[in-house]
Order: sequence, then C-alpha cells, then structure tokens
Amino acid sequence: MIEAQIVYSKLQAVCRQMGEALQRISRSPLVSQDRAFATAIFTNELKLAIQHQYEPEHLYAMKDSVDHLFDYFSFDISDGDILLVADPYNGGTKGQTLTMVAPLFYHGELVLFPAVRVQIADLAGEFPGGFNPDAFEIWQESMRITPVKLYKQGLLQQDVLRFLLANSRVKSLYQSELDAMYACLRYAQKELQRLIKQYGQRLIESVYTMTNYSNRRIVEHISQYPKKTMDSKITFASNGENITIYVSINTSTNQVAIDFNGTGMQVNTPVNASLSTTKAFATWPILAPLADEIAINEGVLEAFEIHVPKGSLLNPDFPASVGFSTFITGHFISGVITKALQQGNTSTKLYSKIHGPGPQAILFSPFGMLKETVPLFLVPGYPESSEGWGPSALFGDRELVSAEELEFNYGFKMVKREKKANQMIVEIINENFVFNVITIIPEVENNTYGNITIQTNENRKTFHKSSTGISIRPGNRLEFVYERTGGQ
Amino acid sequence: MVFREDINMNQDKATKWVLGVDVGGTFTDLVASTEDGQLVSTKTPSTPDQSDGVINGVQKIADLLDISIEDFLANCPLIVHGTTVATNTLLEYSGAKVGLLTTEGFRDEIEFRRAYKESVFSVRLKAPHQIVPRRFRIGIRERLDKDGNIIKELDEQAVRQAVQRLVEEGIEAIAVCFLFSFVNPMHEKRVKEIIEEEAPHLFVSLSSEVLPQIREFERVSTTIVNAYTGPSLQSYLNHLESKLQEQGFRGELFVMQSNGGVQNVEQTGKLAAGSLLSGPAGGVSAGAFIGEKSGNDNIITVDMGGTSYDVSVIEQLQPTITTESWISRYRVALPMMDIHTIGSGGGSIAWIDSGGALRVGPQSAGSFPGPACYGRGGTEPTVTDVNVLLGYINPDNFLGGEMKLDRNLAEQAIMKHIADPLGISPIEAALAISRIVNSDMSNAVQYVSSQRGYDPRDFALMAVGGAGAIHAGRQAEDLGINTVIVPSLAPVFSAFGDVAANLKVTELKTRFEDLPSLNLEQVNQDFEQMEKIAREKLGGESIVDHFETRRYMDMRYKGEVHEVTVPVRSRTKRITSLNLDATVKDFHEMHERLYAHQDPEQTIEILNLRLDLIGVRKKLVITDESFGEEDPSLAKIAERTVYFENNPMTIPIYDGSLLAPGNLIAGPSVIEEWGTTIVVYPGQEALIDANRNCIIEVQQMRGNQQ
Repeated sequence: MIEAQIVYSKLQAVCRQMGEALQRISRSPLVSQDRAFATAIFTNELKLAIQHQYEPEHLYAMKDSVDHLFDYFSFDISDGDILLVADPYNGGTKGQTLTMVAPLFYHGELVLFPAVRVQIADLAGEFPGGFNPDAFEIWQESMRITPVKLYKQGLLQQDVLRFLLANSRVKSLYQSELDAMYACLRYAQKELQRLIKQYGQRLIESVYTMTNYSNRRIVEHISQYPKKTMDSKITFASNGENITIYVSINTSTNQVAIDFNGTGMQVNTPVNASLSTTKAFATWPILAPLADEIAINEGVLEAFEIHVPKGSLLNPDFPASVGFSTFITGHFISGVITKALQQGNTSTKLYSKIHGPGPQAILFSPFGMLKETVPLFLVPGYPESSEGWGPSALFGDRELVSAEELEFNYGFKMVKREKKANQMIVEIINENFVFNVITIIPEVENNTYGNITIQTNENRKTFHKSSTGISIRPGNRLEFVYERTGGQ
Repeated sequence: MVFREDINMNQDKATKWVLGVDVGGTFTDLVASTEDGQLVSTKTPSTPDQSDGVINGVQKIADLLDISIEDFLANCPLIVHGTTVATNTLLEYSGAKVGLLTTEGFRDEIEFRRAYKESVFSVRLKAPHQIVPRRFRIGIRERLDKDGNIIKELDEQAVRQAVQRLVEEGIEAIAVCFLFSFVNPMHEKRVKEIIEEEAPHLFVSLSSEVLPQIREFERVSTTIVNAYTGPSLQSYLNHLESKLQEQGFRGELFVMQSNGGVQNVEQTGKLAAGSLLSGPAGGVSAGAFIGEKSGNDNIITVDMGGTSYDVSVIEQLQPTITTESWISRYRVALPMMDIHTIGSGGGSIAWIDSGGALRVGPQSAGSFPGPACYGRGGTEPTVTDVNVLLGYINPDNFLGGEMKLDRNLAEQAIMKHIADPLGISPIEAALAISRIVNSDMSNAVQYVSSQRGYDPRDFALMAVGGAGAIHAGRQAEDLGINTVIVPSLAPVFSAFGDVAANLKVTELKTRFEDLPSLNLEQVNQDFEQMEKIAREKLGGESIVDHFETRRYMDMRYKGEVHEVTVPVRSRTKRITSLNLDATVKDFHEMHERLYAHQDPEQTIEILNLRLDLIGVRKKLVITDESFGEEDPSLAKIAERTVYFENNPMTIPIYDGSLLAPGNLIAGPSVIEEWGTTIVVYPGQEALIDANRNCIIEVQQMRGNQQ
C-alpha cells in the first residue's frame, strides 16, 4: 500500500500537471477562467486510473467517451493516433465539449494513456456557443463529432482538421484549443513513458491498489448511512412545463444503487440530460464529503450503479437536445439526491446542498457581422451556497469576472455587484455594440432561481425563464439576480 | 553561538558592520558582516515583543566581538530586518480595526472573492474571517470609466459622513478602493485629503498607491490587508528603531520585503502588505547568493521547519516572483517571492486513515507538546520521531545538546499508532513514514518546478531549516537532481539573506494601449516619472554602491487573457522604437515559452509599465578558504546504528564544525551541526567546499530507492 501510494502520487501529478498546462496555454476564457475541462489517465484495459476535473460534468463522460472511441475504432488504433469525439449520445455531456484521447504504446503494447475533455467556444449549431433555449434536437445546439482521428500514426489529418475548423464560428480559437489539447496530451505521454520506464509493473499495480482504496473509502462511508433505502422527488420546470425527477437510493455492502425510475419523460427543450451527465450529477452529492481525500478513479465509478429509464429526461432518446443539462438539470439531479440523503437521516452537515443553479447570459454579435463570432459567456455572479458564503460546489472552480476587465475587454460597464439579503444583484450597462442575448434561467413553480432584467430605452422586461430573440443596444442595462442556494 | 571560527575577535572599533536580523517563531537569528568578508552569527530565543529579542541578539553579537553594544551599533551603518510582525498580524487576525470606502455598489467584492473557495466540495470549510465586517464597508457615490474619465463626481459630503461614522465606530485604519483608480487616482487622493481633515490620526491605505493595477477584487483585498497590518508594523518598527537608537544606533534600519528587496522603515510602514513574506524572502535571497558563489545558477530551495515545508525556485540566480499569493485566506497581489508551502514539517503527525492508507500531516504536534520524543506529553508519531528512531537525529545532541530527546517515546508512539495497526515492526513503520514524507516533499518540488515550466533535473537542491538536510538526499534521488547544497549558514539562513540583499522598489503604472497606437514619448515620460517616485521611496544613498533601473512592459495578445512581463531592452533611459521592436520580439518568444504559441500577426496590447529601481549594495565578500585534506576522519566523533532499510547499518558520525574545506565524506554517514543534521545516503558523497557549504553529489537510482 505504501509503495502504491508513492508510485500512484507520481501518476496523479502527471494528470494534474496536464490540466495546469492546459489552463496555462489555452487561449479560451472557458478554460483559463471558467476551467471548463478535465484531464485523465486510463489503463490499457480502459479503466480510469486517475482523473482531475475543475467542473463536475466530466466525472463519467471522460470514461464513457473513451470507451466509445475504443469501441468504435476497435483494433484500428496505432501509436501516434489522436482520437476525437464530441457527442452527447456516445458518452458525452453537451455537444460542444470535446474529448481528445492519445493512446500510448510501449514495446508495441497499449499502456497507460492520457485523455482530455474541453468545452469549445463554438461548434456550430443555431447560435454561437451551443446553447439554444428553443432547441429540441441536438443539431440546433452544435454539430455532432462522431469518433474521428485527428492524427493517424503521428500524422495530422489535414482534411479532418479543415472539416472541423470549417464548422465553427471561432476558427482560430478552435484551432488553438486543439493545439493546446494536443500539446498537453503529448506532454502527458512523455511523462507516462518516463514513469513506465522508472517503475515498470509497479505503476499499474499502484493504480489497482489505489483504485481499491478509493472504492473502499466510499463503501466505508456509505455503510454509515442510517437507512439503506432512501427516496425523494423534485420538480422543476422548463418553458412552463413541470418536470419531476424521482430517485431511489439503495445501499448494499459494496455499492450504491441509484435508480431514477419514475422520472418524467424527455422533453422538447434542452434540459434533457445525457446519461453521462446524469451519472455525474447523481454521484457528486454522495462523493462530496470525500472529494478532497480520495483520487477519482475506477474505484469511485464502480461504487455506483446508476439506472436511468431510456427515453426519460435523464437518458433521452437520440436526437433530443441536451444543451442546458449541465447548467440546469444537473443541479436538480444533485438536489434530488441530497434531498433523499437528508430524508434518510444522513448527516445534514456532511450532505448539505451542493447545488445552486442561477441565471446566465450568452451574448454575441448579430449574425453575419464578423468573420469569427466569439460568444461571451456572461456569469457575473453566483447563487450563494447553503453554507452562507461562496458559490455552491457545482459552480466548480470558475473565476468570477472582474468588473474592470469586463468593461475594459468587452465594453460592459458593471455598476453594481452586491448582496441584498439572500440575493446577489449584478447590474451591467452595455456600452459597446448591438448584441444578441440568450438567457439561461432555471425555472420552478412557486419559487425563483433568480432572473435577468433587460432595460432598453423603450421598456424593462424581467426574464424568469430561458429565452432567445433578445437584442441589446448601447446604453441598455442588464440586471442579474441570484438567489442563495438556487432559491430553495 | 558563533558559526564561523575564523573571525578576529579583537575588533578594531572602526570596523563597519552590516547586520541582518531575522525574527522567526522560535528563534531570532543574526548575521553581521564586514566589507572584507568577516562574518559572525548567533541565535537567540524570540520574544513576545520582537524588538526585545532583536536587542538581546545584538547584545550577543557585541559580546562575541568583545565590544559594547553601543560601540557595535555605532559602527553599524545598516541593519536589515526580516520580521514576521505583519505576517503574524494577518495569521492571528489581530490587526487594526479597518473600514473600507469603495465605489457604491461594490462593497461585497471582498466577500465574493471572485468565487474562490479553497476547497470546491468541502461543506466543512468555514467562511474566511472578515477583517472588514460588512457594517464597516461603505459605498461612496463616484465612478470613473475605463479611461479614467469621471462619469460620476465624488460625493465629498458622503465621504465626510462615512469617515465620521467610522471614527465613531472606533476604526483605526481606512482602506480606499475605487473602480479604475489605477487609471486615475484623483478620487482616492481626494478621499485621503478628506480623511486627513476629518481624522488625521487614521492610517490610510489607497488602492492606487498599494496596487495600482486592474482587477478590483485583487486590489481591494491587498489594500485592506495593508490597512489591517500597517498600524502594527509601523508601530513595531518605530519602537524598534527607537530602541536601537537608544543603544547608539545611528545608521539606517531597512526591512526585507516579500519581493526580495529591502526598504526603509517609513516605506515599509506605508506598504505593510509588501513585507508579509519578509522572513522567508531573506532565505530565498540567500539561496541565490550561495548559488552564485557555488557555481549553481539554477536552484530549488527547500526549507523544512517544524510545521511546514517551503519550496522556491531560483532560475539564473533570479528568484521566481508571483502575484498570485493568498495569505491567511486573503489575496495579496503584490509581487512576492514565489514560495510554495505544504504541511510537512518535523512536527507533522503520521496517521492511518479509514481506508488503511498511511498519511503524514497536515496536522502538526507543533512545538508544544511537540513530537513524542520531546517528552512533553505528545503521544502521536511525528517526522522528528521517525528521524530519531531511524538514527538520523542524535537524541543526545539535538540543538547541540541543548535539548535531550527520548528515543523510547518515539518508538512507542510509532508502534502504537502505525506499526501495530499495520502489523509491521516500528522500524518498518518509521521507514514507511519516511518514504511517504519524502514522496510528499519531492512531489511538491516537482509541482513547483513543472508549474513554472522547469525540469527539476536542471536544478540543484538547496536544503535549509532544521530537518531539510535529513530528507534532501532522498528527494534529490527521487527527482533526478544531481546536487544537494547544505549551506554552512543554514541555521541563520534568512538573516544571511538580509545581509546580502539589495534595496529595491517596484513601481507600476497601468497603460492600456494597443501597440500600434503607442505614444513612445509618453511612455518615456511615464518611466521617468516612475523612476523619480521610486528614487524618493528608495532612499538609502549612503549605503548603496550604485542604482540600477529595470523597465518592463506587461503585454498580451489583444483579446487574450495571458499577460507576459517583458523586460524592455534599452541601454539608455529612453526607449527608442528600435528598443521597442526588440521588446516585442522578446514578447513573442516569451509567450511561446510560457503558453506554447506565438502569433506575430496578432495585435499586442500594453497593460502596465513596471519599473524596478535597485539600490545595488557593495557585494558581500565571503573569502574562499583553501582546500585541505580529503580525509574527514579528524571530524569523526562517533559511529551510530541507523536504518536506511530494515537491516541496520553502523555508520560514521561527523561533527560539522570540525569538518574543513576539501573534506570528502562518503555515504552513508551523518554530519551533525548545531540546528542541522545532514544525512549522506548510501551511494552519495559530500564535499565541504571553500565556503564550508556541504555539497552532496547524488547517484541516480530513480524509482529504486528504498
């Protein structure tokens, strides 16, 4: 165990450094500021050896995407290949989050290899950024990148690259993100080769020992639940339509079974959640008390058995839209799990709410104005967590935008960001150009998760649900209201 | 205690001494040097009023030189002081009662912290202690735009009312931070005038003076910390200076700054946030000095104390600087020595978690009760207990025999808490703990170096602190580092750095401009003005050999987030367009090195102009001694049983103070010095160099160490 701890810590370091390098070299604010990415290392048996993530959605999607890539290419994988996929229906979460994998061979055998998932600023779809409140099918959100090789045996596939870049409104940024992801994977491959040479078989043995360790810690934790069976339900809305998520949790001696049977059917709005998204947000409330103590690896994933009915909101049939699932639905998935745990008399301290959805806006120049349309993902505040300070855990490691940088870089003058009772109020004046605005706002009957008010010269309108078709001109004012713990 | 035996005790009273004083948590260290390279040093216990310990130490130095304290101080033109007053004030939350005046609508930025949480998922993490409670944070009607234009006049009446209210509340210091004050400080300066009219006794901290750069949270946090720590630091320094003057000191008292430079008492009091790393910065400065002397330009310094392990990187003799520091949960965005800390020290407790994994730290036994072997009631096994049980630390010669340790208590603690639960022997358990702590430390070194784009194999490892040199040899093997340096002045290392450091002031002016439209004439005027201000701040003409000015520009590709601080290539005071072209070329290359791409076609934005004014002091002279015999047997004082693996070995023990330049010590062996133990592991050999530093050459067996 001690030997394994030491050797495994070297592997953890490679995974973490891969992420830090990505954050350092990425040109996209989504990576460098919002930290919308994850890094991982897999074994030759496609077991998750270690994963680092800075936002919650990637927990299962990394492995599910890698599984899908290896299923797809089967025996046609060689040294130097770089594989890509971005498909919510094949292991992904939302269309614009891309998984890139670098299989590594040592003496002709597949060995430990790295993978990375990154949210790209735009991968086509109806609106820049991939978020479309009116979408009912995924092509309205972004293109589907089914498994493809960007490099074959070390050679860049120019035709593939051209095709990918041609289908984004942010060609140069996209290119640089692909380059950054590739550079990080190559760095990780080099480091893995060094570790394999240095530690040989002990490296893989350490992975299995520490995988067992992570699993053991979770099992030990869940064994302390006062009740072995718990259930709960939660209701939220999308475009005025109420949706119920139902969950039952059963703990056995070695696993937590989470069953979403009874959850509402899929809907014609983008709040459907892919299976990988559902699994991640269902798992985090149970993992949260241990998140700082154990490594995320196969042992963590194996501790959970998650059943989601096909065709339901949380496992929709292709090609239902899923774009808002990580910002909205994921929070309600975590919310229903926390509610069940609390009803099961688990420690309310350990299992307090980790969710808290809030409003956000995506702004972009009117179509056809610019050669490259870079969307601005505007999240100027956050709902305060149930602990009464800072954002909730599902906000991730995102850095709140600076008022001065927002004004300097984008011409939006922030005139207020302050607390008012349980709310955070942010007011911003557009001093720039005309922008189209998409709002993403969680909905629930008889409650509020915050809102966005847009005041133009002509009128003042408060949005309580996600909308599109809004346009703001210079001098128009946006007001964001965030409610503590998402208003509940 | 004198660490150098070669000083001439019959000092000529006219000899001029420069004194370095570093006050740590346990000891106050002092190093005095003369122009011709004589060095004398001592340690004395730190005292609750740090100035008492300083005076005690000065007295000890004077005693060692056989002169009176008055004579010694009268011949000290300069005292450089590393102090933890500001740090302790912030760590203990014992600072001034602070009020904040900020742009209306933004008084909660200090709580929002840009959404930063030290642990994203921990529900146990408590909110940071608010050093400025909300009721003392007052929004003032005023607003500037990004170009510094006034779009809402300052409401002076509101300022007066706010100041009066804060005074009634018993506020001792006021921090002022308005949006875009770094572009136009007019409103902040006017507020300062009003405060001086209304309440002249208050300490005032303006963001435009403390940190004149973009990002309001970073600025307000740093400004508040400055207001919080300033009054106590100012009062302490005035008090110390008076005490020294009472004893005959007529020279200048300077304070080591977090950025590695030193500044006078007046400036330090105004910018207390700039001396939060005053102590450790001295150590890093010393590291660069020793590195240069020993021919190692690239150094990683590791300082292992009782509760923590500090790592810093020195590249090409320049310590790396960061503006990303968090201290006591507050953001301090001033440029500081980049010192990465993990919770692994001699007092770190080993424990077994619920999954059966062996862990070390971050809980520490501290100095009381301390490790089990201290015999003060501590029962949990610590790293020091491990080092005693394995034979690395001599229990009868700890701190030169001033403190006796109990090996049996160490063994009992390890047996009860680690060996028995794991079903292994106490020695096996101790070896396991040692391996875990070595691994944690080498991972920290790997992290620090790779995060900055360096490969640790290109560096030498410099070990300081009481236990640093026990573990450094193993870490070097693990990291692929070939050379370990244990400085002869390791026990008083920070104080030595204080003696060696130059004076330094950093000025910054924000200047948002696209490069193509840059007005070079104005840039030159700005730099001239910055240099003038820096000269006024720096002072110290009497102790400086010459001044050096270094100019920098913060640049980035337009629309991107990564900034690069690029040195301006200019041989004269004025920057020509040719100089600018060369600087731009450097920017592209630095961007490529740091961020893996460059784009010469892309428009470049200038964000800030920076200027470092350095008062270069006459270089500290350390005389090289000639090499004697290789054979170190004259210094061998004993043999001892130690454990590098399960089977014991009997190895020679050397008295470090008896070793001479040129001595070559083959591993395995242990060198004991006051306050420092050096372990030379099997396969390694140690050379005592011409300055009595211990240089260990490491045989590489990566991944196979036991």
